Amino acid sequence: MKNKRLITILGAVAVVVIGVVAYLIFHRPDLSKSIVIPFIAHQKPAIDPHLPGPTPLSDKLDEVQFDGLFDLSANPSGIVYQDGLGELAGVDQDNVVTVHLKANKRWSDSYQITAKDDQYTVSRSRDHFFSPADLQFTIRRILTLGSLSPDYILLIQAMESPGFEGPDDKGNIRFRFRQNRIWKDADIKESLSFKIIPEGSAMNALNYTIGTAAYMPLPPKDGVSNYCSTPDGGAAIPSFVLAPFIDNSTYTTELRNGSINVLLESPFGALSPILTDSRKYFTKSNISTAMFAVLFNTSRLSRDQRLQLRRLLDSKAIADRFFNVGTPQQRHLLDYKGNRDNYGDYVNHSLFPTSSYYIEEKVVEPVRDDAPPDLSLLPDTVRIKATANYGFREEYSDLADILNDPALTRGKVKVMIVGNEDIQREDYDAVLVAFTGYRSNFLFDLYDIFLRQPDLANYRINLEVAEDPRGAQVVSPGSFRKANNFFGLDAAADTPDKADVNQFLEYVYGFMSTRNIGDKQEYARRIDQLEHGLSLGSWLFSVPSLAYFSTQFDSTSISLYGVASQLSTIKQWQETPDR
Amino acid sequence: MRSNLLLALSLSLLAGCATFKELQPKPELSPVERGYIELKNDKEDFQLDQGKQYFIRFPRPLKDNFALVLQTNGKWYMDTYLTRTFDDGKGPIVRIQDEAPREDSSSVYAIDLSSGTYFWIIDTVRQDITLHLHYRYVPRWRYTFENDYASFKQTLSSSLVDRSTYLSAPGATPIESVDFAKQLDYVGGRTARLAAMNETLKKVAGLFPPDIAAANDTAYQNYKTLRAAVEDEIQFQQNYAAALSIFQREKNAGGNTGTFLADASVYADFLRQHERYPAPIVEKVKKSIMLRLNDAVPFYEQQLRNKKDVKPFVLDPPLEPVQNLYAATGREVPPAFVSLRAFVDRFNLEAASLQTATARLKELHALLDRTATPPAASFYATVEASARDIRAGILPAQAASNDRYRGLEAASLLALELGKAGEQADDFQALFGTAAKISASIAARSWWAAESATRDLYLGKDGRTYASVERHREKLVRWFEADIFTGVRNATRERLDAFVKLNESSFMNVPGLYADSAFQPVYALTFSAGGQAALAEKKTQIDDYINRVRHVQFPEAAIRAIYTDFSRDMNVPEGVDRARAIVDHGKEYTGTDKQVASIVTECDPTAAKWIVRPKEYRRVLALPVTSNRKGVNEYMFRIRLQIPSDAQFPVFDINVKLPRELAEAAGREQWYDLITINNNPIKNEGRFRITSPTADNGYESQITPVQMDKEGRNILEVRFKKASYKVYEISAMAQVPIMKKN
Repeated sequence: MKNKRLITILGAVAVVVIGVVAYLIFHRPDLSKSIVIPFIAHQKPAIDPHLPGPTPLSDKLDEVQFDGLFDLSANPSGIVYQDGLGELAGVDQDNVVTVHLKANKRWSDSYQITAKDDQYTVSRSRDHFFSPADLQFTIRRILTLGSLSPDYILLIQAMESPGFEGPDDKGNIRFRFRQNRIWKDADIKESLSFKIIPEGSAMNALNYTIGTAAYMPLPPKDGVSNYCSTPDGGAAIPSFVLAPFIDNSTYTTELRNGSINVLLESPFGALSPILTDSRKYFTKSNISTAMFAVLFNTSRLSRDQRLQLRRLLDSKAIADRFFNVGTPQQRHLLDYKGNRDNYGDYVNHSLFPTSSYYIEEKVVEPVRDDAPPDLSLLPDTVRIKATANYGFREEYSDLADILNDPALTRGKVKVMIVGNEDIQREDYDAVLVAFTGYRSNFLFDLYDIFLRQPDLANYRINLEVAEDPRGAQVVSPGSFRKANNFFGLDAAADTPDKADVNQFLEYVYGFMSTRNIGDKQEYARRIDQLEHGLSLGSWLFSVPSLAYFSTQFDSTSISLYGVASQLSTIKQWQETPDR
Repeated sequence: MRSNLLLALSLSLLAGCATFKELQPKPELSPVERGYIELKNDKEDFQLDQGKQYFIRFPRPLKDNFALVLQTNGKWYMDTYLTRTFDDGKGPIVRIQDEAPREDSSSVYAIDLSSGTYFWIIDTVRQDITLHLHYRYVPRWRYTFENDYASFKQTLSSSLVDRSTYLSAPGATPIESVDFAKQLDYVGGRTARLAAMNETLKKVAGLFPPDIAAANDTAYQNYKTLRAAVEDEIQFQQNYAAALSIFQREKNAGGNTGTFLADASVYADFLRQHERYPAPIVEKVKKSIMLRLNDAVPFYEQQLRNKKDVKPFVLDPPLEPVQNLYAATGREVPPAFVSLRAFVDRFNLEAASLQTATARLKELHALLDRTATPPAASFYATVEASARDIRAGILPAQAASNDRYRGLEAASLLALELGKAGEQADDFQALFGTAAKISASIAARSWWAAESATRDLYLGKDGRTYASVERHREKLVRWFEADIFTGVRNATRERLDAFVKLNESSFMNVPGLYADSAFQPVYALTFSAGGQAALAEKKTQIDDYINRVRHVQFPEAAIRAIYTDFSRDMNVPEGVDRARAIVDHGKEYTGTDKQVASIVTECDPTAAKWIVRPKEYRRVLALPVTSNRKGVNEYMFRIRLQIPSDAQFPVFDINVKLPRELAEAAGREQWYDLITINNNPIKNEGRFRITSPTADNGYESQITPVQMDKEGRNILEVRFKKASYKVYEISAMAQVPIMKKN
């Protein structure tokens, strides 16, 4: 009896297992002719090609949707520039750059999309061709955005008065580049690689949808659009889908399960133990664009306390714990240079990530402070809060455990995963934040760190500028107000740090607004030094940028390289022929 | 025959038409001296018609000094004259003066042998008359004397003066008691008459024929007798008058010695002619004069005492006549007068020498005052000779030593002035003697001698004060100082200019050139009358020139000259030497010529080559900093970025294009030894990147980023080694790097 019952149970289990397996087999989504990328459902990407996006995906989507006069792409040897809406005709000895505008480029609103039963059809509508006026409008918008836009820096770096003359009867326009250098083709194309939006677009829209690139957005569902290739866009794969998920903790599983076929950022930036089958997956690495940091609330912690807290938070030890270094569960790394498990390269000693240009090129050489913390200066408990609802759920969870470990933080730290409200109220001694999508090149975004509204649900940069008596634009102290940044920095507050805080704000603005590389470098050094003195945060570590692709795709068609955006070559992606 | 008759008739008519009709007396007129001869026309008188004109020919006399005397009754009815030539009234007519009184019926004409014939012209006949005419040829003296003889005798007799007083005849009025004025007037009138008559008689004597003395002519004998009487009376009267005048003068002088002495010559003359006068008269005069002369010396000594200046004495009256008067009286000149005369003469000699010297010294002063610019060297010798001559002309002051007159103020003054003049002349002589020597020293470029003598002159080290020629001494010192300065300066310049010309192309041991004595003044000035500040100013002027040559002209000329050779071929070992010579010259160069400065900078490997504009290649010379001519040398070059930028901390890429010789092995070994930025070594790591020069990139190496401190020096230094000793041309360019988004 007992055996029969056992057999019955085992048989039932077997049936269930078989059923599940059958379900999985027969209900596996068909992702052919589609690129499917996951995103966190409540972090809808905002598409603005001229401003840093609130999510890493936002900036990447710019490449999907928009063209510049020239577009950055990549090949196995490195980055390359491709003609977008323009062709470089030449540059004369007076640095007048002549660009031939492509006359037959259509804006995506030249097509009409009809959806039916999750199917869509694309048909021609009234032609809306790209024109010089669109370029003029785009330049005007970039100039309006000022230092908030990286494109602004590149434009004023290249031209005294950004703009162009023409077009002439051949469709050529002329840019008068600065006289201070010999402009090579690559430099010119870099300077003119800003994405172009059509004239008449809103100057300050939440999303920009009309582009000229290979893909155009479909009517949004729940506020998010998928994309289809335009009839004359040249994309090899017709569909580009954004798949919503609750958080990123299941991304690898979803990839393994075939719900998605591209994972642009792997959890922990590490190789996934469940995606090791090279017959099904391959990886591509980029330079790191995400880091974790503990930002100190200056309204609660004094400078001395912040200093001691920084000393207490041993980034190296935390990173080792984060990557489970030396344990069977060690998370393995593979960076874009081919390095493996080089964890130390991702430990930060400055707000400028170790993997960024500023540290790699030794523009900034952070001071190492290995002194032991004076715990007596710290509060009994330093309350660090984090919210895990906006990505990196697993990472935040692990980090909370790590930091709460008395062996690591001497029982002085209490990390709590909280809702966004606590963050908005700045109800913390320190806040654990993941900065994502930063650029590890010259244009490292300090606004994102220091001027971002402490609100992970909404992305807002609190930059206020004014004119000095000479008419020069300067940063206004209002940019630092107590409740408008993670650090509780208040330029007007009568604190011992006031002078340094104001100086720091000026340096940040100088760094972000200058068009001179030397100034950029010097400001970086000063910011690093002053921040070291102010002890505004513990910059913990960065995580590598590691993308997983299904072998549905031909790996040779997907070129990612260093600082190039991961999706800048998307129209070249192809599926593996025998699949 | 008929024609002959017509001719004769015509001639007769023509003859009948003559204006003046000649009267031809018969018998013919005779020039022999006789009495009056009646002129007749065959015993008839000529009839003269009213309104007609006539003439008569008179033969010339037999001797000169004759008179033709014509007596006629018709003088009042005719106008007549005598002439030597006559042609019927045509042509000029010279009338011989009629010496007879106008009212007289006679006419007297002086005639002589110079004319053969004389014509008596009856020019006008107022009424018909019968001409009664007597003529006489008579010697002129006779005619005159005979006419006036009676008158002469009458004049003589009426002009005689009584001689008793003069001759001190007994009973006569003594001469000293005579009313001199009245008597002189009386005698004078007579003497005048007699003298006038005697003059007439003398004129008559002038008409005597040579043989008159031998002729026993009565008129002549009368003449002689009368003449002797007249002259005797005149002589007497004159002597008498002279004696009267002497006595009158002596009397009129009264007690005034000066007035008396003023006539000393008159008295002396009188006494010297004592033979003319009667002895009593002479003795009286002598006695009176000798008494008066006793006052002469005191009289003159008073004048000496009154004199208060150094001009020569002008005694009134002069001493000479007085001294002569002593002699005329026959009395020995008294010693006091002799002493007086000797003193005055000496004084006047000395005063004259003083006057002459003073005038000449004044001329010298004026000459020197007029001489506004330094004169020729000969000037000083000339002035010195003049001064010596003046000095020689200044007599020793002996007058003041006269025993009798040593206390006279004028004498003392004269002695004093003579001393001053002498000293002044001595000053001039010494001053210009020294000046001549200094001038000669200057001409001989003996600067030390010239300056020492000038200083001694200025300081009076020869013992002279030069007080009398102070302003000239100052001027001379000033001139000499200027000449010495100018000479030293010019000599320094000449030597230095020649040195520069000779050495401007030299490129070996350039520092040695600058150590040459040519860069020192030919003489170091040590004196200026203007003091140390003026001396320093002069030395500064010379030093300024030397410094200008040393620090501007020489290095400038040398740098240009050497650079020309250097540029012609720098790829020879001498190229390095020339470059180094240019740099050595450049170390001395302080001029402002930008081209020269840039040449120096170009040739100086330690001087950073400025790059002031982006993206423009400029030539940079890499030169060895070691001197191994046959082995490995270390080379270097420096670049300094000074590119305008609105950046606060500008950075640049520096592109260095290397010669193939330097870069072709860069693939095997690092082409450079050391690259520094502001002395901080940079390596091809970290944020710095140094690209390798290859054939593909045209052997161009890029060094980046090179940060430029806007306020400071931004020196990129490159050092490398190469087994060569030459100059390498490198091309460098800087430009800003750019930030990139991607």
